[in-house]
Amino acid sequence: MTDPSACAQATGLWQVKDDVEIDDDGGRLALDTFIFAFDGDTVVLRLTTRHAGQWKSDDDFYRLAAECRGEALCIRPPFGDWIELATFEEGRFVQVGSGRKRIFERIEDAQVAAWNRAILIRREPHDYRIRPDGTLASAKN
Amino acid sequence: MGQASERAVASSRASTVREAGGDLYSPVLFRSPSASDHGVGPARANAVLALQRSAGNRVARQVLARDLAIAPTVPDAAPVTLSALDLQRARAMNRVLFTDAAELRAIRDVLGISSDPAIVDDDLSNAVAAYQASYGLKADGMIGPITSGRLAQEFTAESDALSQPAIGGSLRRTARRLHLRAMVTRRHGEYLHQGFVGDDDNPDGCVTVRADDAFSGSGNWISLEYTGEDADQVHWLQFNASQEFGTPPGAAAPVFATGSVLTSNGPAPWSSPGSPQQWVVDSVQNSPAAHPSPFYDVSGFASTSSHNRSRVMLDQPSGASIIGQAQAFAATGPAAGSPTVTERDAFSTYLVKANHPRYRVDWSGTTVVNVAAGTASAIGYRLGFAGPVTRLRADHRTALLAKYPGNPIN
Repeated sequence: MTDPSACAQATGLWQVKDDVEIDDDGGRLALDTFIFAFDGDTVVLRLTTRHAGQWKSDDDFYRLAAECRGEALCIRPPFGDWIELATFEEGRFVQVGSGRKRIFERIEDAQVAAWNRAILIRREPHDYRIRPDGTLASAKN
Repeated sequence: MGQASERAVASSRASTVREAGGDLYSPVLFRSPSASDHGVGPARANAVLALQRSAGNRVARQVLARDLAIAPTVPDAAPVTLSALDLQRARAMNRVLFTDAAELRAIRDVLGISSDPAIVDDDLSNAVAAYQASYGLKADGMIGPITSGRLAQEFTAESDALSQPAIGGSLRRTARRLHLRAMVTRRHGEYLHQGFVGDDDNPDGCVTVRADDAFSGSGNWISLEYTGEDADQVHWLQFNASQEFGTPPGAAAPVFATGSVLTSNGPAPWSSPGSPQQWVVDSVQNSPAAHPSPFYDVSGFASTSSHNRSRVMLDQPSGASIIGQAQAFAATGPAAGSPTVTERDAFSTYLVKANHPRYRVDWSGTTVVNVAAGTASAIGYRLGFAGPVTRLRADHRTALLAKYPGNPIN
């Protein structure tokens, strides 16, 4: 059984290594996350913004609030509720869903593909007061 | 009615014409019989009726059509010759906008060409260009918002001169439709569709769809605009279902993404062929947090509005933000190695008033990502069904309730 604290200690840069079919996905939908960085409190990853009119970061990468709930690493998207990003098991993160298991491996900075290098840039945590139109919500909101 | 009296009508009607930033539209038309139809009183109407009785309705209509009720502002305008390209452009645009035979028949008649066949052709374009030149408008043969506004005034003047009821009849119906067309505020891009909401004789509003619209400093947007005096009371509700696919080397068929894409609004499910569309409400549920709304234009997405005139929603789905997502799709799993990845976003967009759907526009946007180059194509827009509706589709209603339980829109 996985140590409940293992997730919180699994900091580093994680990238999909294998993608395998499985029989039991628990009825879950897979996420398409390919790479993320976890520092124990936040996760840096790329998010897609589906509408050009909606506020987004300059490079589509965000440093989001994150926390481990047991084995599950959860993040809070800029305009959504907390979601489970991946589960830590057997020493690595996995994503299960849509009939597949995606297995992450810990990688070094030098292994990051050119199109994902922006994940290495130091950035401030996301400001959750930002509204979809780019304005800041007041404290009441 | 002779030219002198027509000009009297023109002069009196001029006070109802509003010029605003190059626009020309009458703020109130045909909603109720007006007591301020200056100078177009019973005596003048009776004169017209007498003329009709003595010469026959057809002759009277021809007199009106040739002379026009509102005098040209450029009475000696030089003849206009549209080039083959001008004619092609005019035909293309007018054919998108004018699909109603009765309306075309009325417009052709007023412009002084044969009302039959009631079609968009070069005769219509040339007649429109001549009409435009007579009023100092750009003579391009296209019946855009400004020309529609001028024609709406003409139809109004003729209807008034004939003392026609405020609602009903070909002239009033056409005037109302032209008036709503004239209220359109968007000016860039290519028309995909225009249709009307409400009673056929006296519609409440007009829905106009454009591709390649410009907004916020960039192009390649799609815009859906409602124009009508009740524009403040309507909203746009949009549903989205997306597909992503690529064809790896040696594969006979494309591989479709399954699961969901992680967006800044949270996960969004992929749809794939052979399965029901995975519709989601295109809104941000928690923004503003205290007042979540399913409406696209309230949710913080791109929109514009003009008080009691227009409510526009603009979209530019996918675009450059999907490049990294597409590269990830082609980097691992069944689609690994695909040189290009295509994202096709399907949308069903409803115009809603008082919780009742009034109109639906189905459209899609397709973007192709070159995986190696890290570039995305321009979005290709396609229009599907567009027309009046009275209810949400069942699968859309299910998606609405999944995200906004108890929402009354139906």
